[in-house]
Amino acid sequence: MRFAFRADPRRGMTAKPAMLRAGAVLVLLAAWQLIAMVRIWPPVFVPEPAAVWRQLVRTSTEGYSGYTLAEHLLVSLRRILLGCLYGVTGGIALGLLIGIVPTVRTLLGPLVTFVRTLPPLAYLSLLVIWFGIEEEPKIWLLLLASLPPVAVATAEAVRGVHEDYLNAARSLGASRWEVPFRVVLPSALPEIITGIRVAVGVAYTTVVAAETVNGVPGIGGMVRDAQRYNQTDVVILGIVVIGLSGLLIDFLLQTLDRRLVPWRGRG
Amino acid sequence: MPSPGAEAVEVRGVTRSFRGKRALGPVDLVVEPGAFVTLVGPSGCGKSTLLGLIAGFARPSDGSLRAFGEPVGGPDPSRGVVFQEPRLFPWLSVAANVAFGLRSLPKAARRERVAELLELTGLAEAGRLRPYELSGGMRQRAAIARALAPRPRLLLMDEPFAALDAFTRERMQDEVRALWQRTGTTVLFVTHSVDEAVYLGTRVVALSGSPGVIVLDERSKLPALEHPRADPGFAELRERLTEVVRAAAQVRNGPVTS
Ligand SMILES: Nc1ncnc2c1ncn2[C@@H]1O[C@H](COP(=O)(O)OP(=O)(O)OP(=O)(O)O)[C@@H](O)[C@H]1O
Ligand SMILES: [Mg+2]
Repeated sequence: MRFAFRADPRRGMTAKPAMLRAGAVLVLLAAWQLIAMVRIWPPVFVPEPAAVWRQLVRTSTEGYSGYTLAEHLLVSLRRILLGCLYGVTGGIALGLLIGIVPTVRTLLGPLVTFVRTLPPLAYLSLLVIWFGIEEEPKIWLLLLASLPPVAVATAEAVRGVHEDYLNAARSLGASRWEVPFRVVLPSALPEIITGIRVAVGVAYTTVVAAETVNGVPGIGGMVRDAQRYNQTDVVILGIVVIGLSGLLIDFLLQTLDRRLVPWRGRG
Repeated sequence: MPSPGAEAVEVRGVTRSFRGKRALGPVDLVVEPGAFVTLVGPSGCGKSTLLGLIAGFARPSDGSLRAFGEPVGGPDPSRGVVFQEPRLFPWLSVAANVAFGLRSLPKAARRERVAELLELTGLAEAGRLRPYELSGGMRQRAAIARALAPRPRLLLMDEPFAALDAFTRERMQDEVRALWQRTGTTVLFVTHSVDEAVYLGTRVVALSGSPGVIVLDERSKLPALEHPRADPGFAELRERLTEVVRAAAQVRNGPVTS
């Protein structure tokens, strides 16, 4: 057992866990290869890792459904990025209002919770009716999926700001209008960033599903097409690519968190 | 504009109730400019409440408050506050914390003033650090520097040293005394420590148990001396104050005034 518990959260990955992780991936690959080789299930169910690798090469060079893997991925990432950008911006603004203005809290608080409990796909049909089947409904869907977690996290954090901070700022000459931006937002930053990480996660799970409707180009669209033609290796490739890009994005957000909130847990 | 001859603080018939239950007062307290008033009293008697009212964080249920002749209508940079916890803004460096109240100054003047304050509070080397990188004593000094930045005429301090160890605490007391002598700021200083109150106060005020009313209000020459603790008057006043505070704590309801 390694006691990595907050010894120094800034320290990067040391050699040992890195090797451990590489080892775990290797074991997983070996098990997969073994299962595929003994043919418990036909290749349509469990293709060999090598087949997935071949698809990786082929989709990257020749493409699939008319687009290369990189193009599929970039389009999906662009949707996530745009949707989250709008969702996070709106979520912070809304959360700030809900946290500060009691009337807004009474009016919009339950609505945000309502939308948050809905699975985003539940309102996809409605968005398709309103906005058609091009980019618009997808961006709207991701916006609606990523806004509530950020709004809720922001509102909670805003209400949790100790009044001493507000009083200190006011007696240092900050006006009533400056306080939300100079004090409330920055002190809510740790929770806001946590909310953003949740939002990006939700957007990820949502985008692939959203792309089942006219989703090509897009990773979700690619997976959908592959499923139609029983190309299981492409489906698995899509899943792996989504997972890995998600890991990467979360890693970037964690890095951002450490840069922006170095006082987390010590404030 | 504040009238030149006005008292630093005028508290007249002030009470404060929470949910219909009186927590403080009525209190009458007039503080002359330049005084160092220490305020002691049992826990829960309303010391923080009184300080908050003078700072303008809340309104009295009854009575009136003035600072330098002006009615207190809300927080104001002329009344600096140091809280029991340092409450430095963790997202800002120490220097930026001190500069928080200097928005109106041009950049060069601001930088100069920050350097001056960090020097004054012994934090010249710490300006670029974040609050979480400071020791408890350094944090409290940074909080004092921040509160002094807009040149408040009145400094309100609510048990600023309560969380410090005895050694650091004594050093901080001397530093605050020196600061007060140098800046001429009027200070209202809440403390749990009778010793601290006698050591620092040119005027020592004691509140009774809840709801707090003033049960002792004495002027003292001790802080002006070179070594106040060595003076026979020190032990004498400390004894007396201890007695008063102990009695006040026992009579929970204090002298009833309706
Ligand atoms: N916001 C509030 N709501 C309700 N009651 C309050 C509030 N603030 C203070 N009180 C009550 O007012 C009384 C005085 O509180 P206050 O914090 O002023 O005491 P204090 O003298 O500063 O105590 P301590 O020495 O422990 O800091 C207490 O009985 C407390 O319960
Ligand atoms: Mg108190």
